[in-house]
Amino acid sequence: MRPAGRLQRAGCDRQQQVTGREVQAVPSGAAHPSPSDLVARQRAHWRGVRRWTAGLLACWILSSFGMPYWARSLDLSLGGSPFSFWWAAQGAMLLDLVLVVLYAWVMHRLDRRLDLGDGV
Amino acid sequence: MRHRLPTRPLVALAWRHRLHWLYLGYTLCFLGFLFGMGVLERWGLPRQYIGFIFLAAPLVIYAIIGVLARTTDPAEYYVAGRRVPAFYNGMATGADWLSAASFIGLAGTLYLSGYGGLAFVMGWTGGFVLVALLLAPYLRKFGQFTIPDFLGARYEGQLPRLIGLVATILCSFVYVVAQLYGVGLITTRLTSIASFEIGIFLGLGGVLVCSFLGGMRAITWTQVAQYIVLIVAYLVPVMWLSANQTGVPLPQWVYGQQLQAVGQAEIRLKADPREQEVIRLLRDQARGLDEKMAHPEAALQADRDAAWQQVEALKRENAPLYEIQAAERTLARLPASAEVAVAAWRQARDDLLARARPLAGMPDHDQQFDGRPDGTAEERGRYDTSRRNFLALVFCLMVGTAGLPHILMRYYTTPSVREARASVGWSLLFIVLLYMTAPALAVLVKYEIFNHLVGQRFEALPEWIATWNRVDPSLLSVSDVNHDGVLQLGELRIGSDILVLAMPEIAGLPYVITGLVAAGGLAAALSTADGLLLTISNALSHDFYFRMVSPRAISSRRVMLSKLLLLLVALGAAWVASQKPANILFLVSAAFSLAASAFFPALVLGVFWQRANRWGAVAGMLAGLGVTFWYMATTHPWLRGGLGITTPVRLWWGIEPISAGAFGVPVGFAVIILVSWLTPAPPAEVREFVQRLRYPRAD
Repeated sequence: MRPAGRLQRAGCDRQQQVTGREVQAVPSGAAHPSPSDLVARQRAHWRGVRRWTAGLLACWILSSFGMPYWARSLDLSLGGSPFSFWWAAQGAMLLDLVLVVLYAWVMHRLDRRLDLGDGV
Repeated sequence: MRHRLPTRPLVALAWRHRLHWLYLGYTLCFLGFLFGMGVLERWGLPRQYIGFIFLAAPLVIYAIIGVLARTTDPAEYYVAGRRVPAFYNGMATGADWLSAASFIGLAGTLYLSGYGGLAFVMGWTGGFVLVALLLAPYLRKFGQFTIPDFLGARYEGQLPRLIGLVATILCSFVYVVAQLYGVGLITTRLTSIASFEIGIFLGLGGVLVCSFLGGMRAITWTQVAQYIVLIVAYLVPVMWLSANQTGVPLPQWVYGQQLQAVGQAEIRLKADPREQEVIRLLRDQARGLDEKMAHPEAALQADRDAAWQQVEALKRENAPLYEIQAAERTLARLPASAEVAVAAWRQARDDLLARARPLAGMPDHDQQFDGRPDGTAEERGRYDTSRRNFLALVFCLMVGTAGLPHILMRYYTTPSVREARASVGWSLLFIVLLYMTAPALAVLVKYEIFNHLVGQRFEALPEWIATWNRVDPSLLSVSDVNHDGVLQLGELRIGSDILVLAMPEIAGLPYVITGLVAAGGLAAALSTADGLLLTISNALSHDFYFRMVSPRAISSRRVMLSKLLLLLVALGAAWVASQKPANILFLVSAAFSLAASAFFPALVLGVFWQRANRWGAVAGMLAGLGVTFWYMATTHPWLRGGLGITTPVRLWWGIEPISAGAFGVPVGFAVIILVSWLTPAPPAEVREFVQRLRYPRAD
């Protein structure tokens, strides 16, 4: 009988097999990092991820829902078009782009600082 | 001391450089082709040849790419070997995302609804923030082939996988039918191919030739080529129009001042006495139809008698044959029975009443929401409801974006977690290029129509009105309601689909630009259809056959099965599309709501909450889907009719059925959390699995 619910454990690390890259060149003779060091780094990493995710999501919610909610009261004229119209038509999108790019950059920095990244 | 990774392996770098040169060359060839066609038009090449070449030539290029990228290896077939750099994956995702609805329908919707249409613009871009922050990096770390794969692994069972599989097929199939329908529309409108069905099957051929042989690998590279075509096709006409109107070819920058001019034209048109006369006359016509509906048999008989007498009179006078035939056609087209007549008259009357309002029923372009927050109780009610509906629609579209399998799957094809994050950024950039331009397009066209078209004499109306009217009168028609020989805004009926296709002619641009726009629309529809078909066939062959039925199947057989299923599903979708199902827009929006409630809560809680277990996920997905579907079934007229529901419609907080996901998603979250708490925690392996998902590299 086929075992149900078997985890595809290999799947998580398959990216390294498929691309065939060497992940970490640890100089011979250096000790492998201790488990507690790894756990501490992982905790710090996940804390950073959660904080940044929450913060950026809060900006996003304000921009996408807060702005239309108060659209009528924010009806100042900005270079020819009412501000809330411009925000819904262009501003919100541009802010979204900034949020996504910022997230990618911040995460990459976090990965490198805690040596948990896989990026090249 | 740790060594740092080399910046990029040399092999990957050479590969990227090759891609850059290939696609740069392709872009230059395309621009050269455009220029060459323009010259040919100047030299007198007839229109139908131009239209045909613009549709056929890109199709040949896509076919070549599709054949060159053929493969039988599963990793290549399902996830393009995970070798697609972030930049190109972004372009391909952009093309996949920008469907016929975005390319053709969006600008028209914005033209007709003003601020209200911006819910689509915000909804269809904002979701990518959710994808980037909550899903893409974790899915990439998971690293399998499909979304049901993730559900099956995270929630340790076949049941979550099965539910995911069914939801994937449901949402994607509905969406792909709409794309093939769009392909049929474009090919029949712009070429001399008369039959809608043949247009669809030609489009189908275009889709299959790219995806059939090479799967995700062929689709990705074809989609990059299709993105280049569609973005050029969208931007060039609008930039040209902007240069004509304001002297600056950057429409996104300058349309603010045109918006102001449109506002002034709106004031002028609302105060114009002749517009008001047209409104009165349209209301009179509506009242006439009301009287007919009061006595349907008598009215129908009177209509028949009048038509018959007309035919007789023409025959007696020996009028030309075509006049007699026209009169006979009118007689033949009269409704057969009183019920049919009443339905037709009711439709016509509602139509007339919708038009018999200031500005032909369109709201002020920049007015946010209906009603007024500081007016009477009724106005305040309308304001609250319209604002709530706007926000609910934005929510559904955004969360639906982050739940649609064919988009989420694309982030499996990047080489690493870091590239997956970057790829979402590139996708959003390429999508924003089009979505920032659509509102500008709507405003510029409105300016053109309000200021140059309205107020012209009927004899002097431009050629394109007659041409489009002949193609499909329901999309564009003019009639001199008040018989003054001058076109008023209320006398012009323009459908939303036609705006982008007719825009080059409205702006007085050469016909090659119309051909270009058609090629762009076709590229948008084909690219999305490709992605969706592959998602469906992958779900069936990989998730159902390989994971559930026959896990020991060899890889070549899996790929063979996937190709076969792709073909069958494509034929099925083309057949459904050729039946011209009504309410395409509703079906597409329904797909968003269903995807949002089925997938989003389960995926997000799967990554961020270790306690979420199998029972919670199953209950949550079913509850979310159930609530959404139930709400749509009991409130939307089309579904109500289909299922025979007759209890009175009760909207929850006034939310329209198109935003049913606004209820399904919170219910999904709540049920997953509740049921997971009440049932045993997942085993240690699952917790470890979730831990590993969270870091790009486990040491």
